[in-house]
Amino acid sequence: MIDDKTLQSVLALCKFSLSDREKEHFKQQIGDILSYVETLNQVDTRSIDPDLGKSLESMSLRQDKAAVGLPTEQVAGLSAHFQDSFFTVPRIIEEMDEITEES
Amino acid sequence: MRDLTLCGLKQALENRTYTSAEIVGAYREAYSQDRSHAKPLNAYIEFFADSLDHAREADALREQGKGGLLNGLPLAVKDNIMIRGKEATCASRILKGFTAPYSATVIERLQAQGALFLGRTNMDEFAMGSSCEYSCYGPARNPVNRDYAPGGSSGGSACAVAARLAPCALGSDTGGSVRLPASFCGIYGLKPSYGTLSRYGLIAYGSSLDQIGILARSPEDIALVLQAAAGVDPKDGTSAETAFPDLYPLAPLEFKGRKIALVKEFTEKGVDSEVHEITKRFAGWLKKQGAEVVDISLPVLHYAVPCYYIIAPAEASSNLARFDGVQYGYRDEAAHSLEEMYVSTRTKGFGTEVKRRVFIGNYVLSSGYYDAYYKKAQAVRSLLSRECQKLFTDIDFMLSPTAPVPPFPLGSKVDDPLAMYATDMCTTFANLTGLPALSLPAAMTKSGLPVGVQLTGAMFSERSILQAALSWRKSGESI
Repeated sequence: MIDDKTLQSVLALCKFSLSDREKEHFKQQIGDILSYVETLNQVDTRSIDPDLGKSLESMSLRQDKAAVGLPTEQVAGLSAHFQDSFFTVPRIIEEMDEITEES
Repeated sequence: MRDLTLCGLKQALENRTYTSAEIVGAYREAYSQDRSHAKPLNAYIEFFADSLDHAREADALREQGKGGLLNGLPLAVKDNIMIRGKEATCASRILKGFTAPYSATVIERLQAQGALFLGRTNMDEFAMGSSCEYSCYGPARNPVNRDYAPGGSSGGSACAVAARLAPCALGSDTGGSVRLPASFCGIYGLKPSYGTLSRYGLIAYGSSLDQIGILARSPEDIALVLQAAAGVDPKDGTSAETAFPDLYPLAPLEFKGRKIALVKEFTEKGVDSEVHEITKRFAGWLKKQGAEVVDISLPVLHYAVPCYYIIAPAEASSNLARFDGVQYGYRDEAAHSLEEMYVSTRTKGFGTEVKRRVFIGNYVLSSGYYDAYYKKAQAVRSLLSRECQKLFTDIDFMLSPTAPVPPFPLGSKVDDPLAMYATDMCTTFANLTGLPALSLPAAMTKSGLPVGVQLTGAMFSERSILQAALSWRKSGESI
């Protein structure tokens, strides 16, 4: 079982929220899953280089050549919030009067 | 007609027994009929309205003496492989309404050979699941017994093929997602070697593990599709130079002189007795064909599943960070700020299992836990790769069950993540090591449910794995 503080800090990284009921369920289930994956500690890996990249034989780098990407009109179809080559999002900068009021 | 395999349909088209339009029409009719069943299979999320048009175009090409290796042959496609202009949702609310801006390389290659696509198949959300129940469209059902799960995550693909709603289907396999449903539905399913098929256009789950796979009712069908789709792709830096230009027609394998390892870790503890018995009987069949079957033990295989359930969620937490309401699919319009939009979009867009895995991924990658979990898992993965590499210098194939249990009833594991993860006991190691593995339908349980066995080979040994499976199919024997 994980504690509330850990739950909150990881949820902040996940960028989603849980209801109180879901939180209780999650704390138990995630705790059980973590206990399960901790069985890996039984494996002696002292002689192992954990960098898998080094153990892969054939990682080839592609040539540094310019290529044509997706045309803008194709990308436009991705979202209903595409406007003048940009994806629009809710306002980030507050209105001047809101800032003045707060200050 | 729908009883024919993909290769059978190819012959029927070449002999002018059927037209492609007739074939597609038959599948469409079967799909419509199934929708009115009391318990519909729910194999397809969408049956493409234009599939018949493409079939007619293929027929016209054939009349002109043109067309590629797959001209007029229909396939079903998992909902996480992009076809330009079609929706691709990974069976997730968060991607509803997302239209693919380009096609996956595999799709383009199959289209270049004349293949056409019947529709998008159901799956566990973002390919996270072993039963095809974690789908925003509701679960797919097992055509052998509609109260049972078809396996996952490519459950819709397996279900469509087994139920004769498609002759062949594409799936994806990150920890067993092609092989498990193939086993549960009584068909063949191949996860190729890491790098054999380009992943460009496959919506990523665990990038160091993901492979597109092929499901069919015959190994020859898989060979035909693999031949058309394999080969290096500049758009996927992990794709390999290896191609299979002359895989089709496929010849059976001569087993004499072949050494096959039956692994203790996948045949004893945690394996259902009937599944264990069927695997042993299949080993007996291999011996009868002249193969040498040896019992071996590779203790590190015990740790493949816990290793996978650190690495896959870690990669998923990163890959799924892009789904935040900005560019793709669903956005919660009620949100007033950017942060609120991210959080409410993801809260409403993701299902429970996806949230669980994204949470685990963020946890194991976060400061303070990284070394204890992620780094340790990478070390175990390296050890597993090294041990398997060593093993395959001495043997031709590894034999194991595909799943430790026969198909299970719908709803029986859906709220128990650890029980669900245990279903992946025999499959995840192939993703962690990159090895090719195939599930083949071996036998039925006493209660009439399919059980598959898995053959794993050395890197890029797809040909001999498929040949071995063809020998089994052609033998027509039951064990």
